[in-house]
Amino acid sequence: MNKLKKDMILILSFLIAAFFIWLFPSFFEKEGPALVKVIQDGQETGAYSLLEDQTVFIPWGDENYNLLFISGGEASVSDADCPDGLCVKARSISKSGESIICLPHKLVIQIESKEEGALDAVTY
Amino acid sequence: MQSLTEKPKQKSSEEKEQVRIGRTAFLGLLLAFALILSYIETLIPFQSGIPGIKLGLANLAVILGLYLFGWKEALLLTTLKALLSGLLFGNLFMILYSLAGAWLSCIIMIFMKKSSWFHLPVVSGSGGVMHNVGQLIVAAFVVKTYGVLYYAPVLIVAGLGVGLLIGAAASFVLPYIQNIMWKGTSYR
Repeated sequence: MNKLKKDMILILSFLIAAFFIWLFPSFFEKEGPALVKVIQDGQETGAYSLLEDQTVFIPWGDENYNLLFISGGEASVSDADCPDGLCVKARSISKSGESIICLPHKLVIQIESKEEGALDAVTY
Repeated sequence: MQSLTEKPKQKSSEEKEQVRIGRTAFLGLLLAFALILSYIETLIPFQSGIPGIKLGLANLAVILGLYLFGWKEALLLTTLKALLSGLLFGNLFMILYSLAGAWLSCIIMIFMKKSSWFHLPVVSGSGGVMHNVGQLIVAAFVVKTYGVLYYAPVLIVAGLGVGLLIGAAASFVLPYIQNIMWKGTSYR
């Protein structure tokens, strides 16, 4: 097997892996109004409707905070005192599965669909 | 491909000294190059949603270090690049994330070069992918949520694309650098 063939196989396998991981979340997608979930250090600490415009103060420890801003069906972090400020710079999220992450405050803000029905799937 | 580690036997101590100094100077140049590329990266807006993920332009310096010298020099460049660019353009916190991705990518590239199964651009492309994958894994551990996997496909494809381009650039300039590097020494 020559070098070029190995090159191609490796590139293809990366692309196939990317494709399968891309397919993966869509298996779990559910219909329904979306929720903004706030997860701190692996614990879910709050869930807010994406449809209501609101500003949520998310404390971290005694002194630190992130400010979650929900408006027009999109969520973003409008202010935070984390050292890198990447969560403020991140673009706003609206689709199921999207998230904003603030590593210094161990915070994940994630969009999830509200309805978790008893049935996983229905076929007709 | 000729590298410094394959220097001919039986050379005078003076010539050995010359090579040693030349290598130190050239590694310094490569490190400066890596830091400039890291700075350029901070100017390009590329927000991926995962902290610490960048385009990976600075990988060019690591690739050159790996192919001109060897694995020790490449690892040294990777570590210093992550430490210094973290201190200069980020913060202490970011250094840890950069190191995770940078080491994983560097180790993968070292083994891929050693196996000599792949061309340089593909080695570089895999390095780019592994850099992003490493940081994604660290991010998933820190926030204890595997929802970050949502970004994996984009990051794999972006890392591969940028890595391939950088690898192509590296394979174009390598012969020229090797040519000038040994000018004035007896090792050309």
